[in-house]
Amino acid sequence: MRMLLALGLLLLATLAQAGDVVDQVARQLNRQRIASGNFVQVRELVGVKKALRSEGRFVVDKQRGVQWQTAKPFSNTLTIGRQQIVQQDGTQVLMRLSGDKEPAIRTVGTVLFATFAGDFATLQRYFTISGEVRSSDWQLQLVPKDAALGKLIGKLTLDGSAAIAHIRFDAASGDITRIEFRDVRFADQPGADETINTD
Amino acid sequence: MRTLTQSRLWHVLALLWLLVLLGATGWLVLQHKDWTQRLDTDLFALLPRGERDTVTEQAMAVLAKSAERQLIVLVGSKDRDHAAQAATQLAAALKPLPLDAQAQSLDLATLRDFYAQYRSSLLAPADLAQLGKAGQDALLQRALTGAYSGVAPGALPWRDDPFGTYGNWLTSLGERSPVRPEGGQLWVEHGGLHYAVLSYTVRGSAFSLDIQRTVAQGLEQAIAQIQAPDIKVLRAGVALHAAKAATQAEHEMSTIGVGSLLGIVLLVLLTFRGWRALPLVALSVFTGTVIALALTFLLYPRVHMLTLVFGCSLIGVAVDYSLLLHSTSLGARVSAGARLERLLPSLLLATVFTAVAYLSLMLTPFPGLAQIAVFAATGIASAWLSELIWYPRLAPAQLQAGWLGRPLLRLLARWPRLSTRQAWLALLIASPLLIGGLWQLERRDDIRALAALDAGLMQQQREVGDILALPSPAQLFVVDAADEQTLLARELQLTAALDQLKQQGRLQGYQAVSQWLLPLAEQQRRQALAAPLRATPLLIRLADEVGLPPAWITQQQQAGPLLAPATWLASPASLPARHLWLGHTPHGYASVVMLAGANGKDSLQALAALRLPGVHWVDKPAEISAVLGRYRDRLGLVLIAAYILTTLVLVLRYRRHAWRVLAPSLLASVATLALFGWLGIPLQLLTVLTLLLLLGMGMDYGIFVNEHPGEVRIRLAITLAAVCTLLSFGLLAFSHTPALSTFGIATLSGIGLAWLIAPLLRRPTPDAQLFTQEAPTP
Repeated sequence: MRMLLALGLLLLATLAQAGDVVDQVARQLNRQRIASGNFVQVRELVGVKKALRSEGRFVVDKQRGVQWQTAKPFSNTLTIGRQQIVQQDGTQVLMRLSGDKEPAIRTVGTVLFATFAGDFATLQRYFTISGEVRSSDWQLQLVPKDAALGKLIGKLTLDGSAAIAHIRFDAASGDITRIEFRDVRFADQPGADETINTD
Repeated sequence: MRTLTQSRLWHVLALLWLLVLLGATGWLVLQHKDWTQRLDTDLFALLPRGERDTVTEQAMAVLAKSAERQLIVLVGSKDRDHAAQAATQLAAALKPLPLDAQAQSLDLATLRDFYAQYRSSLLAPADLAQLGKAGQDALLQRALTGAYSGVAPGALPWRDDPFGTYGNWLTSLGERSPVRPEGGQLWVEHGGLHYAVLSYTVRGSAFSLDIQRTVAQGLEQAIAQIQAPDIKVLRAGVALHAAKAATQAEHEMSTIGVGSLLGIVLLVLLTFRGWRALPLVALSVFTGTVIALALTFLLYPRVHMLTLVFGCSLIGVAVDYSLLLHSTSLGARVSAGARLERLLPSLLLATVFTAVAYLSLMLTPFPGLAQIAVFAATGIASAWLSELIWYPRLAPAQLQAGWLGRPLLRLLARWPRLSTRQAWLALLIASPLLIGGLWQLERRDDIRALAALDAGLMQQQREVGDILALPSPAQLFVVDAADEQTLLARELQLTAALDQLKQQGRLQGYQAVSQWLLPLAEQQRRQALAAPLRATPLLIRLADEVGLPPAWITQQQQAGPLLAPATWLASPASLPARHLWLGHTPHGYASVVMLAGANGKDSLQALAALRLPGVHWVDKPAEISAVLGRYRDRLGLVLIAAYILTTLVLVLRYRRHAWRVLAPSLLASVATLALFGWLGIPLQLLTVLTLLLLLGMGMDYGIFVNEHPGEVRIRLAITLAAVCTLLSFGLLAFSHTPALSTFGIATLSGIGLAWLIAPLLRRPTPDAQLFTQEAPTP
């Protein structure tokens, strides 16, 4: 009897509406403030033979932002706050995009931040989300709601369990970016080397 | 004995005039549907046609045309979801209205695909400044960083834009408008609020009163129905202003019309015993109104609401003649025809002066005022004709003074007369007040006086303009040159100057063709600046690092084509700026540069001070105000000339007593100006026009009083006439259109004073009553 019920629930889960899927995924995700770990990013660019692989460390602070520290093949730090995006090469600032000047940056920052932080309520504002949940694993597809924006952005695919395990970004241009997260640890307070400066 | 008015000719004339009146009435009734649709509420219709070259005028007209159909609603809230929810509700509620939702004019994908071919010369300001300084290693690093960890979501595949310059350029386009598409909806952020932008064009004729009303009321209801907390709704659109102004004008028309009619009826009923004086009064008002309406609608394809508002106040002038005739019939023993013939010279003189005074409105280049002149002159002339032709037949032979008439006659019989010395003394006593007022009088003409703009709507319009950085169609630059390339180069010089003003915060932004289409020379310069990106050694190193074929290197070495004006114009990518391109003109080529957020005197002065070759500053409101000012001064001279001319005519008839006829108008005018000085109302074009009318009407009083100085019933007549005029024009003082209200105040003071002064200065003669003896006066 118990078995039947479980099976039925599972079936219901796969047939569930997108909103329910998102709710279920959100329930599965760890709610602690800090998530940190290692990442491997592989980019497959149109016409480029080599798969471009980079790796490094990441910190997601749900209150402050995302820090993306590439170590290989060269050192590079990307900090995504709600207000600005800064790319640094060591200590030298390569790029600083401010949301004060360009509201779109705030949008990009918000989307990236929400993606890494698993903030689906925010993501639903920009994307139509569909997907499936199987026991502890889930996978979601995100397609931009705005048709014009869709011609630029393509789609996002996320999967994971308590934390996001993979992100795949299909740009409209055909370039593909795949990110894999490893050794993810959760904490309520940022560690010594995990303070994100988004000012 | 048959007099002129009893002749056969008069009989025929009376019939003919009746036919004309019946014909005009019938025509108006038949055309009723048609002429309600020809009512114009367009504020621009009142403005003078341009005195400048046709190219600019055409450009202004096109811009105004496209602006007047636009309707924008902003739905804002601190909470985005609330704003989105309210916007969806509102959009649904607006569905049944004659509105077309405006498609987003800027399709990002179209722009990206078109400009991609020309990307070798398209550089964002930051890249433009940095590329020259960067070495090969830095450039290689930049490309590799982009390849390994690009974040900017792609304009093009990395392969086609390895240094990200084109992506940066596309991003920089965002600076031109604060509006962003998000989730199938346009958004803008301002002052901590998220606004959803709903943009519409009004379907059908933008100046059809029906459509304006439907839109304005529908929008009002839709906004009232929004069920979300803390929502701020802002709306902007010419149609909304027009609807408001039309409703106000209609309201004023009925108030002024009904008010002055009621007042006049009451006055006539109380002054003359019984009702018998009323039909002729009513008939002359009716004739005046019907003929004026018919002729105005016959002459003009569109009739402005303001003409009708003003026209309503004419009722008070049209009754003057029948009041005069009725007043003199009090206790008369002479037939109506004989009385009319006796009074004819003064009647004729008075009407001609009044009609000419109204027609002087036509001396201005303002189509609205010309229409008012035609309406007024026709109305007065036909009211007068009615009296002239019908009075002998229809008037009661004798009237008796009524409840109000008797005490009035007694009172007026005691109206003092000033001797010449007393008159001078009175003037001397009043002079400090007069001079003090005139001293403070300032001359200022403002186009806004002509429009009854609702302050609340205006505030919203301004806020919407600020939030969306909408370019204003009122102030802009026209750039011209002999050929297209020079034109674009001149635009570039202008926009460089505008960029500086923008940095100083005097300008929010601008729209120019050269933002999208650079002159060929500049495209070449930028291509040359970006040459390091096409250097073979750099490309070889990059290809080695990531693994790209030799064909890619060859491709990247090409500088790519340049964008020619013809190509740009033919493509849909020019849509956002095509309205700015005026193209081929009789003198070469021309374009428009539009400005956003150039508010405030300082900004406008700084913009007007820009002196660049082929660049012309156009400030429409200032221009119109200048035209108004010029005509004010010109009409001031006309007024002086009119006084001199009238003096000559009057001297011919009244000899050394001519000043007694003229002084009431002149003194009343000076006193009115002084009053305006004390009240702080500036001297405007319309004030001068009022003074012209005052010359005409005030002189009527002077003429009547001095033609028959001993006749108290003439004084009664001008008193009744003045009261009627004050009633109708006085009500105009409450108009929401500043110009009409000023006109009302000026008439109140001017006519009131002229009426008080005229009997004081009458010729010294013993009291003598007209028409009380059997025999007609020779």
